[in-house]
Amino acid sequence: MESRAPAVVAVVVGAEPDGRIEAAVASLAAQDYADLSILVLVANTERAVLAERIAGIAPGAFVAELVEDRGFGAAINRSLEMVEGATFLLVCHDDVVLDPDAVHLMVEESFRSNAGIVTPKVVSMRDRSVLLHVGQGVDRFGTIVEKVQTDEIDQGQHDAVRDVFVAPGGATLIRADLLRSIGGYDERYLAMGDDLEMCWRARLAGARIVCAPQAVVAHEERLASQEHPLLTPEGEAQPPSLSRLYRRNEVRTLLICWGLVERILTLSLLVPLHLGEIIVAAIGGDHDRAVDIREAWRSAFRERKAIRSSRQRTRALRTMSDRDVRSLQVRGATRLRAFAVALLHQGFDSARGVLPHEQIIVSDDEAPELTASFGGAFSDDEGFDELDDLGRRGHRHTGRRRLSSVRSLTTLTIAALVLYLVGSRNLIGARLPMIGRLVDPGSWTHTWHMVFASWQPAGMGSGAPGHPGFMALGLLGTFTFGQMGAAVRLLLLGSIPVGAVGISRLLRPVASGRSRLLAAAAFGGLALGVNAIASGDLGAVVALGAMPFLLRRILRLCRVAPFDEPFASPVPLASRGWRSTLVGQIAGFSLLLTVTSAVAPATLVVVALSSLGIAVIGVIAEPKRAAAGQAKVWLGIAIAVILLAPLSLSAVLSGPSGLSVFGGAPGPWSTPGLGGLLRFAAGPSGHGFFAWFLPVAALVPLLVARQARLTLAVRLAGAAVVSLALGLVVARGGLADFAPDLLVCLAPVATAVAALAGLGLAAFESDLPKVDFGWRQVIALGGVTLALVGIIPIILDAGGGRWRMPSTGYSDSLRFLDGRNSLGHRILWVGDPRTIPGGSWSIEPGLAWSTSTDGLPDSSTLFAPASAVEGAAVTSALGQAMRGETIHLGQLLSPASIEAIVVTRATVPSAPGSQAGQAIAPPVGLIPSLEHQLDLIQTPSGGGVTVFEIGGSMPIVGTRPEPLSRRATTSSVSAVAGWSGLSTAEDGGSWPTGGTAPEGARSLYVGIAPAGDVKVVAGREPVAGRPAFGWASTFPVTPGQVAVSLDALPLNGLLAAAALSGWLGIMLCLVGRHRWLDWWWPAARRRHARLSIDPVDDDAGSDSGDLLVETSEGPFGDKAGEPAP
Amino acid sequence: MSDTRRRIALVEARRPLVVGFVATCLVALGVVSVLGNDTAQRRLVAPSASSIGPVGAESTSFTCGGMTEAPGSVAWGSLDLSNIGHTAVSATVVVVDDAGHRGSAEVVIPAEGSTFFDPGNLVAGGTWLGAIVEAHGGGVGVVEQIHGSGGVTSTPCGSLPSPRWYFAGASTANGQHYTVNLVNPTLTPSVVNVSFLSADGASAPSGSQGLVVPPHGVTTVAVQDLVAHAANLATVVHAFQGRIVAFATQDSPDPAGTAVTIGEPTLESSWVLARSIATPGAQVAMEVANPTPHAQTVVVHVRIPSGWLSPWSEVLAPYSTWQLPMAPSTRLPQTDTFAATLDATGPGVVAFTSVQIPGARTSGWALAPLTAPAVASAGTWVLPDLPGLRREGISLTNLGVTPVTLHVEAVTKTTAKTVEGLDGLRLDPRSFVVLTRPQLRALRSGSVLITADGSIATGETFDGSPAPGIISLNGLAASQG
Repeated sequence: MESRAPAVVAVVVGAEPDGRIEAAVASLAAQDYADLSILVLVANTERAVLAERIAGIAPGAFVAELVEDRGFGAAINRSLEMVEGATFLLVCHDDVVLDPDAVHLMVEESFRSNAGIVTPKVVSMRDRSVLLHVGQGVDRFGTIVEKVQTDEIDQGQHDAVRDVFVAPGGATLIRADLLRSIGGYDERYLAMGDDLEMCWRARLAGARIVCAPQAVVAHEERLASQEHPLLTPEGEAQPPSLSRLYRRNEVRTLLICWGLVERILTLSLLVPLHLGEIIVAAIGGDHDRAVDIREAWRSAFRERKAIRSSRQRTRALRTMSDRDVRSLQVRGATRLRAFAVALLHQGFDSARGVLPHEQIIVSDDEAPELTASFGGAFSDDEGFDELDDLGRRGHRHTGRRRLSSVRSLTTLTIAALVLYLVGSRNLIGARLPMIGRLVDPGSWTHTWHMVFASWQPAGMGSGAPGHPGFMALGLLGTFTFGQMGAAVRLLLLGSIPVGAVGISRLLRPVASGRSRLLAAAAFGGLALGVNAIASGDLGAVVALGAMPFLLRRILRLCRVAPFDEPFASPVPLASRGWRSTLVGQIAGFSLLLTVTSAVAPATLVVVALSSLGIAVIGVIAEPKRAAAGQAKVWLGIAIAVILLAPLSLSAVLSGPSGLSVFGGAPGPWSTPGLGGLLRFAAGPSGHGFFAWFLPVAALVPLLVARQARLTLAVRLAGAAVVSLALGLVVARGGLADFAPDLLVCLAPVATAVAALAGLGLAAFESDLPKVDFGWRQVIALGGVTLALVGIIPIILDAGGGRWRMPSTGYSDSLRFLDGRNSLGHRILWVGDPRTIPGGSWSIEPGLAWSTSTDGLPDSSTLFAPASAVEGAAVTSALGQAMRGETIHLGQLLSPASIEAIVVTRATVPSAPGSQAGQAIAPPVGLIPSLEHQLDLIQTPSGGGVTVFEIGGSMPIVGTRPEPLSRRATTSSVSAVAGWSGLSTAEDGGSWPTGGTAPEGARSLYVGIAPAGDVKVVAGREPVAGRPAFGWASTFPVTPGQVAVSLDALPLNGLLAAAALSGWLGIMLCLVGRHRWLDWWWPAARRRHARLSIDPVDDDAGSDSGDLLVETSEGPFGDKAGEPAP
Repeated sequence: MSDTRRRIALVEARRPLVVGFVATCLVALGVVSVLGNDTAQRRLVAPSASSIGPVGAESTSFTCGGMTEAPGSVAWGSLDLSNIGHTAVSATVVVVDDAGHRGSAEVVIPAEGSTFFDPGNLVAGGTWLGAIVEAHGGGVGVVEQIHGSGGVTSTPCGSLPSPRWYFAGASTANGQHYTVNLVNPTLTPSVVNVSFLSADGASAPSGSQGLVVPPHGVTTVAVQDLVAHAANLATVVHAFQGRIVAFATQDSPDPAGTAVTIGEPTLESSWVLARSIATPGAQVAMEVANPTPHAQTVVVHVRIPSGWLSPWSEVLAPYSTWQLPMAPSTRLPQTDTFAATLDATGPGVVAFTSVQIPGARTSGWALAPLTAPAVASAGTWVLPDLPGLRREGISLTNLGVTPVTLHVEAVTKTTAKTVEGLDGLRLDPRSFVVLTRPQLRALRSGSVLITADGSIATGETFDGSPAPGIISLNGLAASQG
């Protein structure tokens, strides 16, 4: 009897004759469908041999050989040319086995639902009770959304016919005319996503896609499990990874299938999502994921013409609007949602795919027996559901696990971050006041100019190399796209959270999540951070943020438990795993120390002393290993000194005054004693009783901790004690010129206190359960309580929204000094070094000075050179005034072009009723001695500062009719009188400068050091100058055009370039050749691929004690995000 | 047992040592913190109102005031400029008056010598004048001498402008005139409040509040117009902007005389009267004022050559004054030279000494501040000579508790500077010495330089007035830089 069933041709595409294809063909041959033909397409095999084997299974089957294996889609397209008269094509992989009734059920459903494409229920070949697919959905970004969960058991729960967006590959029934009309498969899709693209086009053409779950197909998914090799795309040297291919096809599909409006909208959403994913991948060290994303876009750009052509073809067959298509898709961003859910439930590592999803294993004796309970349904007890069948409360151990779940820790972490953001809310967007180091940061180009410049304007001018701090800021500014304000803000507000993360990493090997969270919160809760922010002390903030990482590096180099794993075996420089070697560890420590010390040079001293402290206490705790690793640490410090050559060289050449690079000596009368230092009360915060709690809590682990927690606590205590001693000596003014920044001195103490607070809780959790109840438990519990309560003041500080930083700075209260017509003059700033905006030089404890040119300080004076060249022009005059040896200070300062003296008396200017800064008085005799001067005019200037103006001071560059006597001194009224500035026409006084010498001018004065570098051209002839006042220079000129410039060998630039090369070189080595070279140089990547690769990852546990487990799953990835092959 | 475990076990075993070490370190740091506690700034040594700058100084200045302008007026004065340095020093004298007139002149002060200058010749048209001497070097002291119709008196010029000045011992009773002169030697305008203490309590007349003293200007306050008929009047000058130097001029019809004195810039809890004389017919008193809100007990000890007298004591109420008549009194023998100390129990008082000669036709009134601790501890003092007057006596007073060795020499270019018996002179605690007339003659006319290794008070009196002691000067403290 002639069959009336529509003809179906099953097309089986086989890649290798490995036996599986025979099973697939056999299952087709066993179908109960009347009019089913079988076409087997194979490549890379002997057709005759395979045909003979197939013939034995399905005598009617036709075996055709493909000339070239160009993927599944291309093979199906070939079959379209070969098949005529068939109503349906059943396109099959070679690793499927169909139930005998599968084909007829799918055909029936096609007619019943008027579906163009029908997909069956796909189950696992290994375990047919496990569901793989019942069709798939997709979001607007092309991310596949499975309808079933991973390893979901088939219990008939999906046995309803439903519309799906994607018919996953394996076995798909497609109406032949539909497939022809949409042009078949896109042959540029070798795998992974070809089904999505084809189905999307079918949808656009108006076809319906349904899943017929009664039809069951078992699928081995050899492609997804990577048993089946991927093809190499045209023009590429090697096959891409599955994930990379999927990403590539995902972007490509979007570009082809969306119309213009939706395409723009989708891409505008996708770009930030991908950027975020790259950032997460970078944080998590998931280099491959970042490369996948980048390659997806590069591929799309490379194939833009082909994509445009495909898009035009797709547009031609469109019968369905994008809006209707959108209604068929899943809402939202599936990948982002999956990441958020995984992050919330299982932590960051799981979310980014490094760790497998958490499985909580509960021992038998702890697991409640929670079976179905009839009584529970009727119980009034809200906790009845927690009772097991024996009446035990199910969560009887929740006390031990309280705040230990990933979810709760994540929630607390987010809450802490939110609190920090709330506390910083008025500093994030608002203008920062000019206090401390928060001077106008200038432009990115100016910052780099300061790095390489041969001359620095600070003080009287200096030929010293640029301060490495400019280099660090310049690099950071590069990452903020040249927004230096954002870079400064990032440093100011980002360092503390980074330091909190560092504390957590420091404790990771020995402490639970909640202990680390407590330590991190304690770190943020110490007054030191608030004080550093409030005073605008960028250096201290950066040092504080970096200190946990630095201490951890020191402990690692000293191989102190729990960081005592052996270093990784030596590998070639910058190759995989180099960072874990001893050399890599030293290099990493050096680079971190270098960058931190560039902004806060005192870090060098503090780190060195902390290392000594670790060794000193090691003498008591582990005598035989007390000094172990110290040589490595000091080698790292020495490398850092070399990398800071522009600063360290000039400091060494400056002699004893070079010590001022570490900071100015504060006035002993305005610094706290030991109690204040322990509470970190070196600013507006930390003065209350609560501030004692955290330092007291830090003592607890020394008493109760055991195992590696104790060794860590002991070494941290050593570092803290020595740093505290240094801080105390500095605070008491005991080291004269050598006075490292007090807040930086306290950074190791803060780090140790926070870490010890966390170790106290860790000891309570891990060590004390093993001992009988006694004083230890009481002390530990008390310590934890103190630590928790000790954080409260900072939580209260968050209410202000600016961490006690004032809203008004010197740029507000002293605006009148900035905008007036005073080009070519300097302002002298005098006061405690903590109160002077920008860098300064110390004169005596509590007294430092700096200058700003043509108004208030700017980025040029953000960092002071190692010593003030010709600073005696200012300091000797000040000294004379303070000793009562002059009443003409204004005249003495006139050659230095000082037109105003600003004496700072507080950290910030005070505004009655709204703002009161911390009073930090200069030496008591300073202001009276200035008030005694007969040529200074005291100007009303608000609180916190006292301003004296000097009338008629000499301009930096000026002329007068009378020549300056060779023996002229500042004491001579006639020497300093009569000078007037050049009439600058075009540049408004910028430097280098020039202008017109007025009629009658005979002498030109240039008040710039070093005088030897000053060149003057009068008219067109260079003129020779001679010294003036011992440090400046004067030149004979005639009326007319005069050009003043500086001429020095570019040694500073070369030195800066060498230092910068060193920084970047070590940075690239630490990143690893396999990362940066491959990233930017595809040819090298291909070469590299041919090399054997050391499987050791850079951040292997030997480095940090971290977990070694890594998986290939991606950051946002989970099963939902991965396509079926 | 692995190496790591062994090491951890060792650390655990040594826990007591570690804890002890940390505790010891913290205690040691605490001790260092306490012992090294210098958190309070060293208190600024109260500057002397009149001190001589270091010889090597780049420039120094003196401000003089309280003088009247027209020749022959009641307080017509001249300036005595002394130089203890070895090189001549030039100086610019700027003279200003209360009408805004201004004049200036250059003078040269010879090395180890002195010169005189009449400021009243430079300006005309005003009433009161002040002079600002800007010396282009150090080692210079300036004293103004009044020799007008009111008689002869003298006071040092001020070397340091100050925001506060105190006076005591004035009177506006019985037709007496008392004028406070405010001279601003700086370029910063000063705004000044002047208030008064008397038997009626404190008063701050509106006419003396918010007075503006312009840069290089003079402003006067006629106190008798504000606080009439008040005796034992004390004055408090407070510049809440800028700094000034304040002088007071007391003009009395009966006893006839004019006294000019510079104010005291600080309150002190102890004062020393270096030299006074219980002159027959003269009334010597100590004038004390307590311009603080605290009651203070004041004790005055008087030393005569033969020994100590029983002390005087008084409790001074807040914002009150006290006049202690010292001579004539039953405790103090007439003609005796005496010294005195004043000690207050509170934040400080201001003390002057006054001399009145009832019935005098001229020079019947004198006022002079006592010596403040800052001056007493200077180590070097200069007793200037006054032209036209003969030095009647010099007293060197050590009212401390340790002996002091001192040297007295003449400021002169001759090689014979020292005088036998005055080089290495030892001054016992709580004693004073009066130089004899032969010693004074040996010192010749001219300034006298005194150096000592401890705190002493120095004072001199001049003859040439109705009574010895009516013209007296404390030694000018000299910096040793």
